[in-house]
Amino acid sequence: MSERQKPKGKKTVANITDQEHDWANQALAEYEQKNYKSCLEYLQRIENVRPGDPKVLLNKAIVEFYKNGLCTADKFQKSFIDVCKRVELNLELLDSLEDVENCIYYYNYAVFLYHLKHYTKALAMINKVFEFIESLEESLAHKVCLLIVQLHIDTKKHAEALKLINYIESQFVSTGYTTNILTGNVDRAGHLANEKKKKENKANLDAATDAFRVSLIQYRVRSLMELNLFDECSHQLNTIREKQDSITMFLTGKLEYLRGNHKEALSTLKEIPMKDDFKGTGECSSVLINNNVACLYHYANKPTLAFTSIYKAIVQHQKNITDVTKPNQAEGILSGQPLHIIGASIKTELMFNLGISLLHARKPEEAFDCLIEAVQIYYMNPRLWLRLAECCIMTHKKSNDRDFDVKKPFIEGVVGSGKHRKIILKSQLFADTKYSREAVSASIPMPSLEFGSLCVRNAVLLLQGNTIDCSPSHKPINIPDRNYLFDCIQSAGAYIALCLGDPVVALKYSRKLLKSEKINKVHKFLGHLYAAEALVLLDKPNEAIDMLKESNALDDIEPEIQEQLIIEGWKPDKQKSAKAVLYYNLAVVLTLRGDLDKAGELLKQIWLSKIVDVSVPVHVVILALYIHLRLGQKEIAITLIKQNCPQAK
Amino acid sequence: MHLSINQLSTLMSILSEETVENQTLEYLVSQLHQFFKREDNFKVGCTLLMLIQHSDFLLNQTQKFAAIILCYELYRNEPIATNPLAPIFMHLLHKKVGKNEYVGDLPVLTMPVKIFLSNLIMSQNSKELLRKSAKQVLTARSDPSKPVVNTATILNTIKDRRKNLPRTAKSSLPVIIPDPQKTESKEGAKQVLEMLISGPKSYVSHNFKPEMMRLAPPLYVCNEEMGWMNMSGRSNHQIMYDKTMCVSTSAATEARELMTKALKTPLTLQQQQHLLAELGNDPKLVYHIGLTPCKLPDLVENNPLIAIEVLLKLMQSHSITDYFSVLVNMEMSLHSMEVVNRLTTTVELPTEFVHLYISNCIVACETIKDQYMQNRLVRLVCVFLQSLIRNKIINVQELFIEVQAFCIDFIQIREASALFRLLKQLETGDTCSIGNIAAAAGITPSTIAAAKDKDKEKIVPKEK
Repeated sequence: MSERQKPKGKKTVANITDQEHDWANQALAEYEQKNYKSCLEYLQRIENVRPGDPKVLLNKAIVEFYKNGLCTADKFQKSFIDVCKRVELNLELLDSLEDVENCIYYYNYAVFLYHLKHYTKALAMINKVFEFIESLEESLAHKVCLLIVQLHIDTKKHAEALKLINYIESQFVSTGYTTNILTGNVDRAGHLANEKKKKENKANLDAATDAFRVSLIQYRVRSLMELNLFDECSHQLNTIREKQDSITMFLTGKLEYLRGNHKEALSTLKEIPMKDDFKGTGECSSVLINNNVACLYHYANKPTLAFTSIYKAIVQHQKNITDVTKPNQAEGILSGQPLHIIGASIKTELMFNLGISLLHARKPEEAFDCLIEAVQIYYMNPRLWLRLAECCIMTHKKSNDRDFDVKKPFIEGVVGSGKHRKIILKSQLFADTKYSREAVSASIPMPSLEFGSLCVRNAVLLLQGNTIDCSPSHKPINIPDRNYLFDCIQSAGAYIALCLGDPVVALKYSRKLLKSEKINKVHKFLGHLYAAEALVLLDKPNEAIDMLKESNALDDIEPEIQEQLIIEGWKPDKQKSAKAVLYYNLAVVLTLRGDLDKAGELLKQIWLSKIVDVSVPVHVVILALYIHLRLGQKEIAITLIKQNCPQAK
Repeated sequence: MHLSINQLSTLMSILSEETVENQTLEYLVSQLHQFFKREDNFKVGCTLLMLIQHSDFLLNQTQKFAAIILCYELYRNEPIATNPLAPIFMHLLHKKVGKNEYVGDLPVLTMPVKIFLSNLIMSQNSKELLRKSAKQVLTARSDPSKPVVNTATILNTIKDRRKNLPRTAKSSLPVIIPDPQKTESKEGAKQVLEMLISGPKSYVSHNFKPEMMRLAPPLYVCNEEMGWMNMSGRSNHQIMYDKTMCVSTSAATEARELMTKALKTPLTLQQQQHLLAELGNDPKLVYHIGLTPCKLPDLVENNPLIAIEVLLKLMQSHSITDYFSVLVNMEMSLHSMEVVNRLTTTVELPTEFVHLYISNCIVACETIKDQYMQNRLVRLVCVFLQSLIRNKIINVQELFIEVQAFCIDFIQIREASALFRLLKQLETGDTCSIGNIAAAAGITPSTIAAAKDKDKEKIVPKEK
């Protein structure tokens, strides 16, 4: 055959001589040996006799790229697009792919986009290539399969990914046992039969196909895991037990982690070999291991160990990246790093984890800085916004401990002596309320209550959607999670609004909180407290009293919630001290309403409960003092101060 | 928000014993307005109030009285109700304004002072009153002709105004609590005043009120929020070298050309064999010969044999259903029927596909206008259906009604009545003898071929 006619706009390509064919073979051999320099020489020879052959030009661009250690992505992109123009191929128009011959362009461009993290676009492109999958030469077909599955996973299309994997297995790894897996034949007997068959078939699979098979199973495990099908995961992992590469081991570890078997997860992590080729793979197992160990520490309630471990991971990761980055930015923003490193940064995810562990280590400001970095990418995650709000709250008030710390002086001091002696009370026991006076915009990210209120607003809005994105975390949000998250967001909102002196908003949040389904006892307690305080600020003391009377403090608190509170060290930790708080607030409202005697009675009750080793609010003394002063009992008031405050003696 | 030390000295000098003793109240007031600007009024007021409330700063009754007058004069141009210091006058004039209100050590006023103060508040022309000195007012004898002016209306206005204030706003108490001791004071009054007023925190402008206890909520608890990281194997996705460079593709090109031809005209036997041989050599070649689903009907009409082979090779393709649906929906013809028939006997076709095809056949028979052609077509369909039933490719129960109606419509045609009898047999459950019935009706694989050959020329051109 002399010439071939190509359907669309192709140039006729001259007949291939034996010489050219030889050169092409040599070039391919050199390419496979990674001798890019001599490969280029052969390609040059071919180009000289076949000027303008697009395949030669494409391969030249590719080999050139490899020769430069994949560090010249800008240059590659340019020459790649030039070749595409030559064959009149517009990569932006996916429908223009009609010819199998052109799949290689689309595949390569999809890979390129994948490494730049343009997953959706890459997926659209590889989907198009996949239509021609049967026609593709096997090694390319395998690559296309792996990339399409990877991209489905990266775009969180897990169910579709699973379907694809099944289809691909049936087409490309057609051995008896895979079809059995496909049909879901996982019962014991069938499984044993499969084992046998597998052994027979295994011999027939060559190394490449086997690696392909393993990769597909690894992808399946990933998708199954995201869909929380853990039993199926472990079954799949069993089928590749004999192929314990690092990827499989990380997956095994994650499965144990998600199942709550932290010990097993840790021992799996310990077995993972630490040898790394970050430059070649863009991944470093010691960074990942440090991060994963931190997750385990975190859930073992060792926040300090957790953040130290992640911090180590971040330092190492940043060092890895700097080490492989060459300063040839002049060629373009994509140059200087190998292609597979450009998108390999996991700093955001590490920062997210670091932030969470710092927050639990009660370092809210540091946590805020980390999480604010994560939220630039994961801004659709309502939980992350709540975490930011929590940082703001914790910066404002580190914990409730101080409210029960009787050693804390509640007078400012004493001025003068003799007849001029004056006792100075504190105008606020704690600076709980902070009216915004600064002319700084609330939207400037800093751990302030103002910014916190915006975070809460974002979280509320994001939780209203049908699908809730919680990446980079694993856990998908189910209905009970959603309710609980909703309650947490509402209470954070109510708290912040009260602190900002915005009772209307605080009342709105706390009413929503109290209406929430399946609300836990702590949130219910807080809801009543916040609502009552908001009502007091709105000068509706009677409604506030009703609200407080409705509350039964932390009666019958759910055991799991109680456990959480103990782990966090949240106060009031006992039901009796919760009751003291409730009564104290009630006393405040009564006082404001003018029922000083009733209020005094309540205070006495609270004070008596203190004797039986219950931590009560320190505010009690001040309120008693206040009531005495209002009743004109100045002498008693002064005695009270002197009794409770050594400073005033 | 407090007076500076200089301002404090100025205020104290206005209220000094000497000035107050010797000067008229009018003079004091003018001094006050001279040295303090309007915007300082509140600070001055707070300071004056403290001086009045504490017994240890202004020792002299005259001074205290003067301070009270100055308090009033600060806001004299405003209605008394909006005077922030108004409640103090009410406390002074009416001993018990409301219970449970902390008032500090307010001085008790003598009758002449009360009279003076009430006159001052109620009168339109107070300038006259201020001509007196403080001492003159204090020492004035009680004059029965000038009783205390009734200030009840004003009192009510003030009360109303306070009623509208939120409780939290009117519940504050000063933070400075006097605790006088009998021991000698180490500091002078002035020094203490300075500490209270302009110290780092200016206590005079602070107050305290009952605070509700506001608990910070506990942290949100979420297992698995911390992200476990997997190895992604991202570097496995690599840019790929095009291995087909300079690889001769002559076989493919030839096959492609033959296929293009086969879409237009029947191939010679030799060409057919050549194409089928090439397709047999390379199982992937079938994807490279440019046969898309929409081109399939042309191939079926011109080269049914090749169409069958190609479809058999495409069985593994995921777009095979596209080919099928084109085949089912193409215009009914002998060739399409032949292709479907061959496919049904060779591979397992999806049932819905076969059913759809049969329905389309029946519809085609019913709608055709030409009587002769219709007869031909009906005979073909009947033979085709019997073959399907005989080979147990379809379960006739699923199409029973449709097929039976078809038979009745064309009962005058011999093949249709044979098919009808076959259906009846099936209905009575005599399934074991289907093969015999079919044989009795004269249907064997060869009859299909025969019917086909007979009708070929007549049907095909008609359908074009």
